[in-house]
Amino acid sequence: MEEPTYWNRFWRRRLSRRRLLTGAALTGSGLAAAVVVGCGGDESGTDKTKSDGGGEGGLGEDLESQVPQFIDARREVVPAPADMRGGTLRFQGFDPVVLDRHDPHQTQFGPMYANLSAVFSKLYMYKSHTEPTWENIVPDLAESAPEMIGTPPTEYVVKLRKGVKFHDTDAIRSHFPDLAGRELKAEDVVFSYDRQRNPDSIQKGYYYRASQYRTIDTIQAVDDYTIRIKTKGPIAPFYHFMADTNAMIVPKEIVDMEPGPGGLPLDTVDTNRGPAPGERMIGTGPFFWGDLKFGIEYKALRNPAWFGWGEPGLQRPYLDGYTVSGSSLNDTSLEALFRRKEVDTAGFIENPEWVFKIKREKPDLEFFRSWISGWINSRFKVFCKPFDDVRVRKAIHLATERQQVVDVIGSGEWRMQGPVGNAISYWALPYDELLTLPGYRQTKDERTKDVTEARQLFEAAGSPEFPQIWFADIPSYIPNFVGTWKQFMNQNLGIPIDKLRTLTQAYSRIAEAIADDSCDLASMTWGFDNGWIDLDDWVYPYFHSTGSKNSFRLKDPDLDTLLDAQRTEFDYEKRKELGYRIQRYLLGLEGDGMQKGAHARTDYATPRTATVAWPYFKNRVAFPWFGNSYWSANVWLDKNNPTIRGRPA
Amino acid sequence: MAQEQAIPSIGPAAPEFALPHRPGVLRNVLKFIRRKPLGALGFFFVLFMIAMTLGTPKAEFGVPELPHSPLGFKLGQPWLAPYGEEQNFKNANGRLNTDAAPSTKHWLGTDGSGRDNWTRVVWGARRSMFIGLWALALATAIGTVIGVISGYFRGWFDTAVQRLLDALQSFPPLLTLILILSITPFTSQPSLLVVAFALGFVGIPQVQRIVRGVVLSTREQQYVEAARVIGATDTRTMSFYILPNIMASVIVVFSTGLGVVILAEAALAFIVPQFVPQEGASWGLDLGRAQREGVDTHTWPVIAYAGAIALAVLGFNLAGDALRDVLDPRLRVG
Repeated sequence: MEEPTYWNRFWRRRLSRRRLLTGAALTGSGLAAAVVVGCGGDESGTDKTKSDGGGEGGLGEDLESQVPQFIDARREVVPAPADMRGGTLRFQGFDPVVLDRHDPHQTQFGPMYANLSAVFSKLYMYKSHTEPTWENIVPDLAESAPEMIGTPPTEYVVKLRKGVKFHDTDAIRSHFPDLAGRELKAEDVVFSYDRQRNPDSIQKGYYYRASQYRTIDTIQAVDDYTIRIKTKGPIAPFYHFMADTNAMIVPKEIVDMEPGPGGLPLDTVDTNRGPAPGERMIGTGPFFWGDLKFGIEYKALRNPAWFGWGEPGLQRPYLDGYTVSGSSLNDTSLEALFRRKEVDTAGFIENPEWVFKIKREKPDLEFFRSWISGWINSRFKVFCKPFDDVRVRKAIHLATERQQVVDVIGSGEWRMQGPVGNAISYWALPYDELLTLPGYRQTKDERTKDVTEARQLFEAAGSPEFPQIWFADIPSYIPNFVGTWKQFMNQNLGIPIDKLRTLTQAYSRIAEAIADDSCDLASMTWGFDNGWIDLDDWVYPYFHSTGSKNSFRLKDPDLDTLLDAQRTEFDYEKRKELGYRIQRYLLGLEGDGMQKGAHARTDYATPRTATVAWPYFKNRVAFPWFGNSYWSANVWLDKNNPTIRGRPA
Repeated sequence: MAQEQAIPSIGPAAPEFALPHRPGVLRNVLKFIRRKPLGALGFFFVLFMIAMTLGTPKAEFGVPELPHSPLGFKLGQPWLAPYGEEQNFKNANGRLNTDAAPSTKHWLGTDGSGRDNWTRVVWGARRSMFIGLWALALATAIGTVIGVISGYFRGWFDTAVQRLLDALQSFPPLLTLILILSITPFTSQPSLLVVAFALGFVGIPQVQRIVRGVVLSTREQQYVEAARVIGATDTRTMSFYILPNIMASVIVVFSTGLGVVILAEAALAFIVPQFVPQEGASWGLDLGRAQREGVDTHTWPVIAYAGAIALAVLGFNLAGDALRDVLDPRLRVG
């Protein structure tokens, strides 16, 4: 008798309808897979997704005509009807991922500026980013543009608005009874500016914009509403300094000035004595600091007593508040949240395709596409081997496959970047010129030439071993890129992949390490840096020997001369030319290109955002740089717009 | 004079004693395939996964390091991987050939960085396999020791150990893993060995529970009683009488556990990629990247990595089930 096995039983089965269908489905799937495999082309040469690195074309090409040239505060603001007030705006962002200090003057983390800018006001602010010039600066706390004395000006007299009050809530009254509801005075401005230029402060290493405030010779409160500032000489960007992202006015009551280490005042909001840093976020802005759940959510709440930029009758902010969630920052989650209207606006993190797709599906959506003032770069400690040798740094610059950075990290939507970001096209080296420069040019022959030179320089420097390279841990596209980076460094410089040691670290740890003199820590980093507005912000703090962000420890007298010169040049066109010279110097294009300051930083690429918003979201603005949340005072939700149906309460 | 004594012969000569004919290995394999086709399929997947991890050893010795130096010597490129782990490909325009469909050159297409998905699957197998083996080695070794001692001695020691491990087991394993890996020293320098040990730690209660159950019945067997009667110490009884007789269960726990650990490692890399080393090919990490950037555009990486995880886990489960059937006499049929 035949042994009863699985196969005996199998062959004796009757062919039921279900089995027949299952078999047919499996066969069909198999054939389909075979067809797909058979049809898949090899490297056919068709770029189905990518832009040319110049950002033109690409996935959303057909949408370009619908993209507004700008969405900034110059757009016509539609006041909210009385019955449209209230509600909470919701979006996703890195705002709750506070990786830096709360102190508005001691942070350099872009999303933190966003939180702070709704809470603290500045003397001035930008209304447009298209040309970051004086014409686009408007008063915030100031009553009007400053009176500038001297030609060129060396003295600025600023008049404050009257009746501007600091936030006043029960919680603030319990912690800071004298501050709650107190009127903002000129002394507050003097305090905010003075502390950042104080060379004796134990926090001086954290005043990242100190090089701006050190241009001040004297600052005094003439009366409660008048400030007189004398600069040490003519400083072309000084008016901008007063409108810069972090020129926020903080009351001295929130700063812990009790003795710290060494008996000197602690001089920070980020203290563990008394109220917590979050409870010290008391400014004059349109929103209260509501609640911050680290990495999860940040809530801002309406300040009903906001001064309203001289138009109190509008009773802004219109919203009850806004909420930023930071827990689902990936494209798949964002698309789902946006479609469910759990967020009112969203943009891509890594892959823009869903944004284009949804815009094509729903043409009524407000769509916006713009360069971001921020970029990916590598910083070197130029006093550490082997990066003290400019040949090694230049070799890295030339060997870098920037187009791969654009394609892999930015899904082809990004653009290569030089020392000044493309978002600030006014100051940046013209992009057409950038694309002709070594390291950026992309034709096959040009790349071959650059890579050959890179290999020669590297070998001439003795093909040194690299120390551990520190990569930032977020956004996730940075650690994801490690493998690709190793691959092209291996191919172009001949460094064995296992000799390229990397470490993924948090920004806070990287910030500590680059401030450390040890060459064992972060002598080359790879991370995102948020960008800036004025030319001076982009170059002076980083590369001047006295610069407050000079983690390179760069001391190059020729470069210092150029950096100082742009500060004293008031003619915009001439200053722009000086800016171009500085950028070319940094890219090793001045003289023999082997100066100390050349290639101290390798700049890779800058992101372009593509965002969509539901049409019920009114008066939306979008600036390329961080720290513009005060414009949310104009935002309201149109309850009559049919698209608001289905929005969760 | 010595007389030779004749050997008396009684009846006809006895026939030569012969053992029954033992079937050859191939015949046994074929018989196994015929009787347990699903188990055989499982073993095929397992063997294929093992084959994916193999590469030419290099004479570079040192401390074991996952995934490419799991035993203290370095393994070269996997034989089944056609390309390097990070090697990317360009199209005719000199741009990265990203998200390409399967072709003769790239059997499973390419990913968002222009890397060959099949190659990444093969390199990723090494990571999954060796993390799994290390984790299971730890869990099985410690779990077996705890299970044997606890089941053998019983009493207050058994109660205390079991309640402690019950408490540990009451936490969802993935949360426990995340908790362990979020300890600062581990987050500042993620390491695959730490991930393996964390996975092993989480697996200890499960292993010891099964081992203890088997020991509880084994310790009542007569041969164990006999050992005690002849004066065997507790250590000797556990080592030479109980342990060898529970090894079949331990092997089954090991083989089925490997699938669970591979799945857990992939889940961990998928959910909290920041807690695991992000370098190199990893099924969970690569799947997570493709998913986060959009399944619509990264369809082939999703199919490749999810398929690899599914087949590996399926393989270990089917193989484990078949092994249990073969090794457990109570389940033997036919």
